[in-house]
Amino acid sequence: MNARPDIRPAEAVALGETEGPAIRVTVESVAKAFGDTPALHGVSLDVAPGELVALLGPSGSGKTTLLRILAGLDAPTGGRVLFDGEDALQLTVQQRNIGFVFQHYALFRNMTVFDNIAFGLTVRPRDRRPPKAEIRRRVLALLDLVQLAGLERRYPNQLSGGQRQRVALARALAIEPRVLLLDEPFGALDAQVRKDLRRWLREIHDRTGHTTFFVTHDQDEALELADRVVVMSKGRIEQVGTPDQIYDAPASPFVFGFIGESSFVPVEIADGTVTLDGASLDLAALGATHGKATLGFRPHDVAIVSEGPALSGPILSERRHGGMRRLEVEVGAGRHRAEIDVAVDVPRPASGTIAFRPTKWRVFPA
Amino acid sequence: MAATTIASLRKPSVIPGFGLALGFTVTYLGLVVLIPLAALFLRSASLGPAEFWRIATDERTLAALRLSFGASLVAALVNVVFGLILAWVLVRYRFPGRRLVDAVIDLPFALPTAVAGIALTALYAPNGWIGSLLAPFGIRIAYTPIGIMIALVFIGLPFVVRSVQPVLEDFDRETEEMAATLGATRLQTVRRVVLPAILPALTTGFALAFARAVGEYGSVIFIAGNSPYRTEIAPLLIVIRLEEFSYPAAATIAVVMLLIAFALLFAINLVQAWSRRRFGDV
Repeated sequence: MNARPDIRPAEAVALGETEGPAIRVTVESVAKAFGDTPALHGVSLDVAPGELVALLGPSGSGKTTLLRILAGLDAPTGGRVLFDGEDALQLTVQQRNIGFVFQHYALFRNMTVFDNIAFGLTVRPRDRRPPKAEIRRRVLALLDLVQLAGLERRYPNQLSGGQRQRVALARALAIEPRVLLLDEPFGALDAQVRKDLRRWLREIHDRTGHTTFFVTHDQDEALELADRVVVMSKGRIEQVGTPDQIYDAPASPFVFGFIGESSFVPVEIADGTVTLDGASLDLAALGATHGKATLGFRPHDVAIVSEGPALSGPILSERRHGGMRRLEVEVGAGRHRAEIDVAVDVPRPASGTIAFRPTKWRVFPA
Repeated sequence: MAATTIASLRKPSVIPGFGLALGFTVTYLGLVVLIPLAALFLRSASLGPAEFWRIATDERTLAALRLSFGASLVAALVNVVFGLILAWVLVRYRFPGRRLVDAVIDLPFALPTAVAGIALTALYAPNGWIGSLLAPFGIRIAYTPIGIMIALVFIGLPFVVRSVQPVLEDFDRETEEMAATLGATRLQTVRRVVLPAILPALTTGFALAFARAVGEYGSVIFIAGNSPYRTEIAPLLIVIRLEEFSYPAAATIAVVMLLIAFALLFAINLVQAWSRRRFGDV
C-alpha cells in the first residue's frame, strides 16, 4: 500500500515484505462478557489492508478486550472475526500469526536481545524454521530497523524502557505477522521518548505496511498516528473515522468531550435555533429538533462580543494555557461552567463578566 | 588498593549503619554457627593427620557418606520434579480444597521426624499397607536405601514447593501469552520461557532440600534398618561413635560431612549469583 523506494531488496525480504499484501480484518458484532459483566456489546469494524487503526477510549471501554480477541488471547462470547474473509476464531493463538506488543514489553529476560527477537523463528517446527544463518540475518536487519544495531548481546535488564519497547516490536515483526497488535505500546514511557517512538512507529508502519491496531487512551497519540480512529466507550464503538472526522464532526457528546477540550452548556431548541433561558443565541440548531439539548464547543472556537445575543456571565478564574489565557465562566441562569480561551493581551473586563459566542459548535439532543 | 577498599566502605550511604550491621552479623554467625563448628574441627584435629585420614577413609565411613549424600541427592532431585509440579498446580489452578492442600505441604516441617519415620516404616514394612502390596513382587522398601530416599523425599518436599511458589506467583502472565503469539507451543513456552525464569528459585529449593536431607536423622533411622555398609547413614554412624565414647572419630566424620556439604552448597550459590548477575534479579 505504500511506495517504499528506500528499501533495498534484501532488507525487504528480511522484514517479511515478500509475504504478500497486508490483510483485511473484519469484526462482526463481537461480544464479550466476563461472567455477568459485559465488556463488549456486539462491536463491528472493517479494517482495510495496511491500515493503521487506533482503538481509543478511557479505561474499561473494552479496547484492550477487543485487541486480545483479535490476537486469540481471549475468546469472544459472540460474533465473528475474519482475516481476509477466513474465520480467525477457528485458529489458535499460535496459528493466527499476529505480532503482539504489550505495554510492559513482556520481554524474555533470560534471553539476549538477539534470542528475544529470534524466538518466534526458533520455535517453529523444523520444516518451517529458517536456517540459522537466515535467522541471524533477519534478526540483525530488524535490529537495524528499530535502530538498536549492536545491542544484540545485551539482556533486557540492561536496556532503557524505550529500547525494550523497540525490541518488543522487532520481536513481533520477526515472525512476519499478518496483523500487528499493539496494546498501549508507549503507555509506560516518559513523554519525550513517547513522542519520538510515535513518529518512529509511523515510519516503520509506512515501510512494512502491516495492518495495525493499537490501543491507547491518549487522544493526541491516536490523532497523530492513526489512519482511522475507533472511539470506544463502555464496550461500544462511539465513532469510527479519520482523525479529522473525529475531531471536527464528533458523533456524540462523549466523543466531543473525550477528543480535545470542550465545554458543554444545556440549552433548549426552539424554531431551529439554540436558546438559553428563553432568549435566542442566534446559533443554528444543526439538525437538532425541538426540546432540550446540549450545546458543545471548543474553548478556542469562541469570539468575545460586546453586544448582540451571546453567552455571558461572571469570570470565575483565569489561568495561562499555552499561548492563550483560559477563563472559566459561569453562564446563564443555570450557572453552568464553561471554559473559553482568550488572547493574553485582552484586558480583564472591569465588570468581571464577559460575553462570547461560539464560532464553531455542535448541538446534541438531550 | 587496600586504602581504596576501606574508603569505599566508609562512603556515606543512604542506607547507614553498615558497620553496625556487619559487626552484628559476624558476631551472631560466630556465636551460633562458627564457634561450634570450630570446636568440631579442633576436636578432630586432636587426632593427628594420620589417624584423621584413617577414620575418614575407613570403609564403613565411606559407605555411610556415599549413602547419605547419594540418597540426599536423589531425594532432592525427586523433590525438584514433584515439588515443581505441586507448586505449579497450587499457583495456576483454582480448585476446591486448594487451601487445604497448600497447608498440608508444610506438615513435614511441623511433624517430629521420628513420627514420620515410624509412620513410613509402618506403611512400607513388608507387612505394612504398601509394603505388603509390593512384597509379592520381591520389592522391598523399608530397611533398604529406597526406604531412606522415601523418608528424605518426605522431609524435603516443603523446601522446593515453598521456594518455587512465590516466584511462580509473580511470574508475568503476559510473558507466556507473548510466547504463544509468537507461535510457541505450551511445551516450548514452559521449557524456554517459564523454567529458566524460575530456575534460581528451583535451585534454592534443591539446595535446601538437599542440605536438610544430608543432616536428617530422626525419620531415617526407623526406616533404614541401619545395617553397616548397606543402610547406615553418616549421621547415624556419628551417633554410634559417640555412644562408643570415641568423640574424635565422631568429630572426624562430622568434619568430612561438613566439608562436602559446604563445597556443594557453595557451588550452588555461585551458580545462582552468576545467573542473577546475568538475567537481573529473579
